[in-house]
Amino acid sequence: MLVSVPLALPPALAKIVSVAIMGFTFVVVLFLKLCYSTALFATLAEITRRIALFRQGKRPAVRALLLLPVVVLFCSAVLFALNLIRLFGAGYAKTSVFLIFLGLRIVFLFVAVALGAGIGLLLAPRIPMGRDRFGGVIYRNRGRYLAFWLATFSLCGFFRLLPWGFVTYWSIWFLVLAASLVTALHWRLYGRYRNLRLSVGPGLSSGEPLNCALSSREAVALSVLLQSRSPIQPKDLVQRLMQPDVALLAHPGWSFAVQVLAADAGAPKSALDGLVMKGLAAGGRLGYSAASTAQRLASIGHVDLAVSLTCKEGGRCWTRVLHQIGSSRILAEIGPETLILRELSSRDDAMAALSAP
Amino acid sequence: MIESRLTLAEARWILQSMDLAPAAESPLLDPLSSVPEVPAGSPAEKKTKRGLLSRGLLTPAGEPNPLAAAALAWLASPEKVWCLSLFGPGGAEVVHLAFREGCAVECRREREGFRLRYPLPEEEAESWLDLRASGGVRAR
Repeated sequence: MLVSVPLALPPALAKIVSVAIMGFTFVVVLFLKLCYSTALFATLAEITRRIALFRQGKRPAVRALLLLPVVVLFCSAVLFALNLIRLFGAGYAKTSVFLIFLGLRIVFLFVAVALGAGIGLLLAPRIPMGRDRFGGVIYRNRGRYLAFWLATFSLCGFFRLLPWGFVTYWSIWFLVLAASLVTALHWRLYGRYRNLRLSVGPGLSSGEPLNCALSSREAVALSVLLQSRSPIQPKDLVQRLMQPDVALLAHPGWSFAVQVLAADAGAPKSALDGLVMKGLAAGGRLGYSAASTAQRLASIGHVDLAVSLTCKEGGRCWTRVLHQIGSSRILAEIGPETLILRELSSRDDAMAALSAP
Repeated sequence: MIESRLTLAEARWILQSMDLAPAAESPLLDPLSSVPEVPAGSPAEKKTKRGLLSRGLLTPAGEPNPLAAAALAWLASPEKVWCLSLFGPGGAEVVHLAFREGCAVECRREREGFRLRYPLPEEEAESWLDLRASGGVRAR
């Protein structure tokens, strides 16, 4: 019969081994805690940097932002695991009261995750996101939830430095809540961002192909007509001069044309009459409004791609812009005083039209 | 087609070695006007030459690579220039194509200098344009 005999070490050697194991454990735990603190404060610095970027109006990479809360959740999990090891190692876990207490703490952590994720999913649709005229994604966000996250981190970092155990748990709980909130929010935001990026514009509405040559004043007047829902009188045109339609009607003479229209009393009527003669506007008793051909321009949501080519050859210089709007293509030739818009058919070679002298 | 990256100092030195004025009336090389001249025999010239040699842009005789030099000469005094700007979901990008003697060189401004691609036959310029328009200025 084989009997296991416990290894009996001399008391002095046992003490040395025990101290060595304790020392090794202490070093490992210290290293892990240092890793956690470094990750915590590095993330804090990164959040501060991103808030500064938001304030400068720069668009952050949404996918990169998604990594941050994941790091925080991971670090929190490591910290929690360390605490568990410490508690079990110290023998506290042997009492049933403690086990109930520990179970409640774990359940509360899951409540924080669920609550944070829920709030994040509810907040995400409230952040405006859309396409700009050139197909870029506008992400109108002041980063308030990042400020909330920053405050949570600061609070947590502060309480981590203090020796009060009961505060440490709740600050970690609050941190997990904030991290879950930001993760869920970014997950939804990234989904919306990707859908927007992949979506293609519907293109111009059907109708007679667009082919017009406009003076700079007519382009300004047409832009006002397209942005107005009701007919406009010539005297009202000046008051309604707004920012240029950057997608199609913008041209170098825009500011000067606006000044002329505002200064010369007869200029608005002359520009509107010019549009009527070209079939782009209709005049009536109530005023001028955009004709159906021009209304097609108003139907543009965003331009998927704009290709601008400026050619300089000898003493000549010309600029053409090809606007890709869904399946429609519009070629704009932009001069200092004129703007020519031509809709290309599917048979036209866009690149040849763009580069032709 | 060859692709080369040149820092501003390297481009300046190559133009100097060909006795071409740094900006030579071409707006494409405007950034070079702010770069100081590289004095002959100076440590700056040695460093520039070492950088060019390591990338095969310097002959054993210490002369700049003839094709790279020709590309810069085309940029310095082109017969025709195309400036292509693309505005799309990925942001805005700009690339130039300078034509001379039936050939063209593509020039893209980078933070530290230029990225050049050459030589491109003039008759292929339209297909180049098509490729850039469909795949962005970085498309090959």
